[in-house]
Amino acid sequence: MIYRASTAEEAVKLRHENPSSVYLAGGTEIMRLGSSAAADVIIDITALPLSDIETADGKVSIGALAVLQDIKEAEVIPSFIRDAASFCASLQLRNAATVGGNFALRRTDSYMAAALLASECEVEIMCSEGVKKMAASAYFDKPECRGLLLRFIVDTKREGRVKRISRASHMHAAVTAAFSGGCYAWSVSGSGTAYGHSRDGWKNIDIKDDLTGSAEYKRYLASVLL
Amino acid sequence: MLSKIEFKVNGRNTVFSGNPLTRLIDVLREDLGLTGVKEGCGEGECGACSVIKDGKLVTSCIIPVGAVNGSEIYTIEGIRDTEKGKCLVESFAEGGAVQCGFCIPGMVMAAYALLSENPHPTDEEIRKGISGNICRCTGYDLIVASIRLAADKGGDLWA
Repeated sequence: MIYRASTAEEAVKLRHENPSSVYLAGGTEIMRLGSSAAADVIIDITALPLSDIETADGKVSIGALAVLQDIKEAEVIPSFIRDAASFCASLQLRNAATVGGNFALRRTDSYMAAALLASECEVEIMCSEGVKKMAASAYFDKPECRGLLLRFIVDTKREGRVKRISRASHMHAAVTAAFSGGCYAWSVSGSGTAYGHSRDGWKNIDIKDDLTGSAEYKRYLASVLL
Repeated sequence: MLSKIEFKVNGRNTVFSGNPLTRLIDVLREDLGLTGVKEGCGEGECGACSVIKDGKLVTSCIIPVGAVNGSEIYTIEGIRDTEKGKCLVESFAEGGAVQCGFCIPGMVMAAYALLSENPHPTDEEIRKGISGNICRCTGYDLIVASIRLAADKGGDLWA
């Protein structure tokens, strides 16, 4: 069953009314190998006006439906976040995959999560009580949240770096790591995500073997990437 | 509630009323018989299944049909008989760009999207334009040369 939401409020209402539901935009994260997204009800949010990238007061607002190619090309976005979008090695995928989907599904091989968490950006989400602004990390830590991610708000002057190790450019990353303004973040395939101001923060992840490599290999990568 | 998903394929209205998470490629190939859309990796990485959705090149194997409600989709069958399509097909043949041919529908779609946006691409821009398309036969040089040929031969066609 599919519903097409015409407003963010309507999308959130539908999400709360249907426990087994999922938001659908580009769809590439839902369909990607290893996706755990499953639902009886699909809430189509593609019609919502959430793809703008705008600057104001030293911040850049990135709509959750902005696709990775638009992020890669937007010079107002800090370069390390644009680099993270480039990790999605296919132009076709970048034309379809949205930044909101890549972040909200919280995959451990996410292209964007480490860079966005390290940027210490804020997010706006639509909840049943209305629009809320919070740290992206606070949203990320609540996978049970049914709110709709509306936009990321990033400091335009933020500098940083992001690195990703995978066996080939198009394959799932073993480790993606980012550093910005004193904040570190790691996404470790099949294991978890960690962020914070400690360079050893990756040690909080229970790193496991998976198709991208052994636990020992990924621990080594996490320790040396930044 | 939407009981069906409505979109256009190659200019024709299409209605789909099955599972919205059905892959777009399966609808195109199996329901609509558009077998020019090839499945390679099934992971959105090889580009063999490339189609144009609302003017943008995308891979149909990793997009659920629920995400294309209201969209306009073009496959190789929708462009091959247009002037631009003929220009590309002739240039690919003339330039010797084709060996096994499996990747070529996707390559042509990528070239079509590229030249429609940028009628006079540099070689680097051509390589970026087909960067999401993998060919295991040719080594790409002849494909790049053929797209350059299509840009030169097509002239105002692409403007």
